[in-house]
Amino acid sequence: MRTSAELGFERLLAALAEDMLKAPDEEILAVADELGQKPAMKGSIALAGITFLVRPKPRHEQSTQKTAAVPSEADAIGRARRRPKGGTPSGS
Amino acid sequence: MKPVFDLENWPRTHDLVRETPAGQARDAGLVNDTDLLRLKAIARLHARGLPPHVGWSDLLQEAFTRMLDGSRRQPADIPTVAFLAGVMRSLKEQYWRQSRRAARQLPKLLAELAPIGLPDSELVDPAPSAERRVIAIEQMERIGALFEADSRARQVIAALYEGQNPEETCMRYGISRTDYDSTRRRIRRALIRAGLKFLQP
Repeated sequence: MRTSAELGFERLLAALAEDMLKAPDEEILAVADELGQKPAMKGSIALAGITFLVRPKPRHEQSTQKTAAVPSEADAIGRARRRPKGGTPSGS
Repeated sequence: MKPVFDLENWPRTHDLVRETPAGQARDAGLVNDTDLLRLKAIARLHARGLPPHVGWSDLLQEAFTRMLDGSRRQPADIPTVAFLAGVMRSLKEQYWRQSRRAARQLPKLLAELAPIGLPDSELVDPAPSAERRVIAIEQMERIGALFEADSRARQVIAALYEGQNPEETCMRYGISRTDYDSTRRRIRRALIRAGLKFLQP
């Protein structure tokens, strides 16, 4: 009988997860080292998603913050007026 | 592939969460950094069998949460990492059980929403696990792509998929037990590598 894709895939994942449990610590650390990761360092990228997370903010919070952070047209005009005479934005 | 976050707008569009269940477990001395890396690779492996909206990190943090809040009790004879790996696997099965239950409820819900009704065949997916099957096929292709240049590894993967034991695999492909074991180690290392990368292949 042909193996169903779900069953076969789950069998494979179970076997591979078991292999990972058996892997010596040195192998795990060697792979991290190959990837340039330093898990012992605070805030290491190796531990992203594990000891700290970067999560998208809910849309309504994003829009509130964007509104607060984006300067209004009046602010922009004010800044332009405060610029000393002869100065150019790009400095060229 | 879409970037994980938009650098130009970060951190406006993203929150940095410094307290996590996995971090708490490490601070409490239940696991160390190497255990966490191992669990990350295992979480990523199991998350291959879930829809993209369920991330590996969710799976991992949920397993730690269940251990810390006592809703999953660790047997005395099972090491913490093996226990958490088992919890992740059972969380995945729980997700699919709930999906199947929701799929069974769907015709009833649709009937309530549309009193005029349409023939059942137009409304109901005949195979509630169709999504799981598609994910399995796609992920088998992705795992296969990791071993494009390694035909022996692909043979061993095919044998594991079919549930063959090492002896059967060696006989089928005419390989020695030593060769089989070294291929398994090669596969393991490649998947640990894929599991530890910032973006998983």
